[in-house]
Amino acid sequence: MKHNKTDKNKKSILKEKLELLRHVSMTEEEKDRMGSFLSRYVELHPVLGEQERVIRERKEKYSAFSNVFRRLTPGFALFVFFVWGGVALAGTSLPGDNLYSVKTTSEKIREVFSFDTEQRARYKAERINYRLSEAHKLLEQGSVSEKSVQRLSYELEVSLEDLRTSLDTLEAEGEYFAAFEIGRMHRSSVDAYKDVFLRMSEESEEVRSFLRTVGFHFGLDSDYFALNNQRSSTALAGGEDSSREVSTLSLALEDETTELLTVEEFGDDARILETDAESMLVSDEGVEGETFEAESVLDFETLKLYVSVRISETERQIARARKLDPRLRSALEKQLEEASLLYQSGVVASESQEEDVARSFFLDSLNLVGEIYPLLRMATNKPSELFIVNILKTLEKDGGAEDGEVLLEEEVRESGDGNDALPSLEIGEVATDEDSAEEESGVSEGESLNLEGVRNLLDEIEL
Amino acid sequence: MKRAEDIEEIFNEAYGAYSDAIFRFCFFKISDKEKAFDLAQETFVRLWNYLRTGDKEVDNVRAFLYKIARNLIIDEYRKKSTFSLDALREGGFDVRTDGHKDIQLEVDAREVVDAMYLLDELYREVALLRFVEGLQPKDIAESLSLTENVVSVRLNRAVKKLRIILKVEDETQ
Repeated sequence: MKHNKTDKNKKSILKEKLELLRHVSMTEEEKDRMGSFLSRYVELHPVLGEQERVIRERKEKYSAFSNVFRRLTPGFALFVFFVWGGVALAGTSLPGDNLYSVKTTSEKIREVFSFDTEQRARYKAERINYRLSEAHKLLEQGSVSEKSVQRLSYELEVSLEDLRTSLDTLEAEGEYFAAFEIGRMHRSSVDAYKDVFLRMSEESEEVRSFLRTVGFHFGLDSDYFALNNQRSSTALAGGEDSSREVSTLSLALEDETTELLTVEEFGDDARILETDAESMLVSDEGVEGETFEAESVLDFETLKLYVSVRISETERQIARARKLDPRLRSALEKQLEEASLLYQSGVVASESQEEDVARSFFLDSLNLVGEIYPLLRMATNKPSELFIVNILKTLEKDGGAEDGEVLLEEEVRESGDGNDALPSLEIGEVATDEDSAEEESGVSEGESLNLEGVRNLLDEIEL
Repeated sequence: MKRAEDIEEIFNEAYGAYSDAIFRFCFFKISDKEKAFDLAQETFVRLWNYLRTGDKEVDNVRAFLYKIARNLIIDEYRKKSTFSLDALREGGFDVRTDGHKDIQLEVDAREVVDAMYLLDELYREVALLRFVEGLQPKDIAESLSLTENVVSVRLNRAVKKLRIILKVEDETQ
């Protein structure tokens, strides 16, 4: 008890002493100074209205950002300078150059930042296109070395594998149109370059040896090339018909993307498997489910809409391309016109309840449009004269633009009872069949239609 | 949203009630009278800027002021790493009395101020807030961003040390 009392005393004494500190304060003069300063401040900075508050919040946000940025600026600027400078320098490098790794790495980084599967696949296709253009430059400059060939070969192999995987993913996600179109773009691009390389190989042993090593990546099989070099060259020189033989080489990317669509095109229980060197038909009941899937995926109305959108987009793209060679522009416009005509034919056919015929028209239209994109992109990138000629040739070959022919795969799609082996189909080749069900479309078997024919056909359907 | 008049009233009340306390707090933390004045003034400027947006509420203005002051002091520490106790002694401070000069009071107050400066800063700030400003441990915890437990422990130790420094034990024995 006594202890408690002592403790209390101690506390109160201490408290008293500490309370003395309350007398420590500002002087009157200081108080006045602070008071008048604060009054002035309050006057100059009144309570905010609603609008002022919004503006202030925005300013604060910006200011917070700029403060951070300001702190980072010197180091960041230096970093950007070196990285950007390095990448820019590397941009023009070719396989075998020291900075080439920087270029491919920056491409990979860009790829990583494409979060959309379709966008990524498109970029992968574009990367293959870059590799082909590098090959073209190497050959043009005559700077092919063992190192560059090895590097290019490796990059092409990896890129192609990447693209395949991407297209598989796209399909798995149900993006069949996108997969189809990207595959198509890729093949058109490969086709164009392939023709250029073959043409170049006629004149140079260096190019021939280069293609023996790298060529198989884009459909120029090394053995085939070795055996058929002479024939291919002659064929190319010989004209359109023979050049198609070159196109009959199975391309590296004749993969499942087109396979799914060919199931749709070539019958209910027939399936075309395309291997590296040949096409063959497998009749298999087991694929019915897949066929059904393909049909449901290719919903008629969606297809129609998709083709129409693609046509108008392509039209805009061509109109926008300012530095386009006039010959190319005219050729591309012509091809687009044909695609558009095919689309209109499809619309007319669909109005007449001829869904199968219409679908075929739409797919053909889509094919033609699909070829325009990569050609347009390549053609706007300062192409050489030889390149332009080859693109024109590709257009003529695929679209049959030279004589106005439009090749309708309708004849093939409708053919057969499904169990008979179909002929192997190659790009640009007109496939025919004895058992065509052409009564519906009014097209006689084995006939390839010219534009006039299509118009007549439309007239008939309308009647 | 509060009306402009209400906001101004809250501010004026806070200034009237706590300006000296905030000055003291700064003074005992920073050992520099002029600096303490500037920091106390800046504390009220910040309070006004916070209140004038009109959409922000302050539950405990007093604790909020200590929090602002403390952050300003920390910034000040960063700018200038050392403070001299001599600056305090030489610059002196005013002991406010009711009109007349009380020499004994001033001498006693100086003794306590010196004793406070012998305390570790951790103990000094809690002792000041508890025994001089009369804040409850809960409010001290809020002002200094500590837990109540930590505040209680520090207070306990501060009392023990002050007793020894001010020889309170001797006097009671």
